[in-house]
Amino acid sequence: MASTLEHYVNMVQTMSSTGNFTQLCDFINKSSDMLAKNASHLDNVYATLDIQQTSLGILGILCVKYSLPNIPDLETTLIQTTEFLAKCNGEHVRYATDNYAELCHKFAQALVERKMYARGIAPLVQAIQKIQIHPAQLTSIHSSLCQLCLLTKNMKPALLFLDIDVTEISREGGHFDAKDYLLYYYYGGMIYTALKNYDRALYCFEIVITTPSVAVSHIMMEAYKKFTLVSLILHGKIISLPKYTPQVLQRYIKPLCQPYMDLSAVYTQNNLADLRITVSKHTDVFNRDSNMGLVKQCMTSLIKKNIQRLTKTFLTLSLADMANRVQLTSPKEAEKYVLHMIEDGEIFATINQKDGMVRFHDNPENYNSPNMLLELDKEMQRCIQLDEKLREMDREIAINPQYVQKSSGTHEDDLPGTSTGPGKIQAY
Amino acid sequence: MRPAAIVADEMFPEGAGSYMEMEEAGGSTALLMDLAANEKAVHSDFFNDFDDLFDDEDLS
Repeated sequence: MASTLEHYVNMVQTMSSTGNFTQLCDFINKSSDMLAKNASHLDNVYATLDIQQTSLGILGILCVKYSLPNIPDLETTLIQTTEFLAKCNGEHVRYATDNYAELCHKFAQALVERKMYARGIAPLVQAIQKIQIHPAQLTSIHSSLCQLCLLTKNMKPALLFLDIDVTEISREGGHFDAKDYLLYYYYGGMIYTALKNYDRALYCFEIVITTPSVAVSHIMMEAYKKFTLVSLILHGKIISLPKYTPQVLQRYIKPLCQPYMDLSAVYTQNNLADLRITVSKHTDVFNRDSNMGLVKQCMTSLIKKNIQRLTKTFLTLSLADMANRVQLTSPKEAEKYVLHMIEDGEIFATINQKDGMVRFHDNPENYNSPNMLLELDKEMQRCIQLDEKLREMDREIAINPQYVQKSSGTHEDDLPGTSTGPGKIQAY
Repeated sequence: MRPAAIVADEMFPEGAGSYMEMEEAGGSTALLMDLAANEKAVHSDFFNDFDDLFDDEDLS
């Protein structure tokens, strides 16, 4: 082994044992060129160092391996990364969250390029759990995990994180990028949409499209298209967005999503035939955006919505009449929809097979059963927890020195004799 | 003489102003304003190459 590599090993071992992690990070960052020049010996260095005791040193080696133009012996590197993410010391790697996140991204990217998606899921779950300070902390690794889950169509591992509301973002040494934030919620919205948890999906897409911005992000644009479709499925219209939604959405993104705007305009008129015409007009666009499945779900939801509207007018109705009113091809098709809607609890009805009549009933729920009370209690507990969390966050902001300084009015600019430099104006 | 314009928010008697100081509102919002960079369109290269995951007809 070259003497420079021996020096690297010695320094890593010494500084790790004495706990000089900040200095060690500096040393490792400065050593990356030297490590790259000795690429052929890096596996020996990896074998020499102990994963638990010298996690930062190994992290440095793996980051360099992934940064090489052609990753030497990729299979070995992937195995080493998997082993490292499972066994590394969480306390140590928290001193280099930026390099740790970069390693995870490059690991995921290498797997995506080689279509080995499933292999990255468990290591990334471990990686996130190891680096998080608490479960509600978002890291940039989250987006890579969601990407792999979508590619494998195995959504469950991502739900471990998506089901927890984020209250803090890991800064990753100032390297956390807005793109990772947008991607996490965009992919999260897609995962919830695939699982038909539309409420949560809409929440995720809304976070993406209400992120402060003055530039058109393609992620925001794709999120807005899906937001439109999910909103139609769930609410029958595009729900209104909060006041803090950036102007860029109204001004630039909406005009770029015209087929989706056309679709929603037609949808609200409750006419299935017109909706079909609009869909066929924009089929290419919907297919290109991989949104055709959602568009089909919109059509199904309009049929269901129209059947639901009938329950407000009729007590009994023949399947043939229903098919005619909802513009379905046959009574058989109407029966299929009614059965599915009864199963899903969307309507309350019975079908008389003998005369082909549907009888609509009122909702049998009287909200007085033990199960319903349990459900209400759970909801109230959730609200109380949310309230407590908000109060806690409010308290944290109230004692934040920057906030106190601002709210008490003693701003730097207000002090006598302080001039407002051009840099300050630009910052605004 | 007309009365002065009514200020809706007592905390900001001078009005909301033309901008919000996002950076001072909280840590995470600052980085999201990265999008306010000079570029007009960003993230055109983001990974979105998934199959249509929402087609129920695939299941039947």
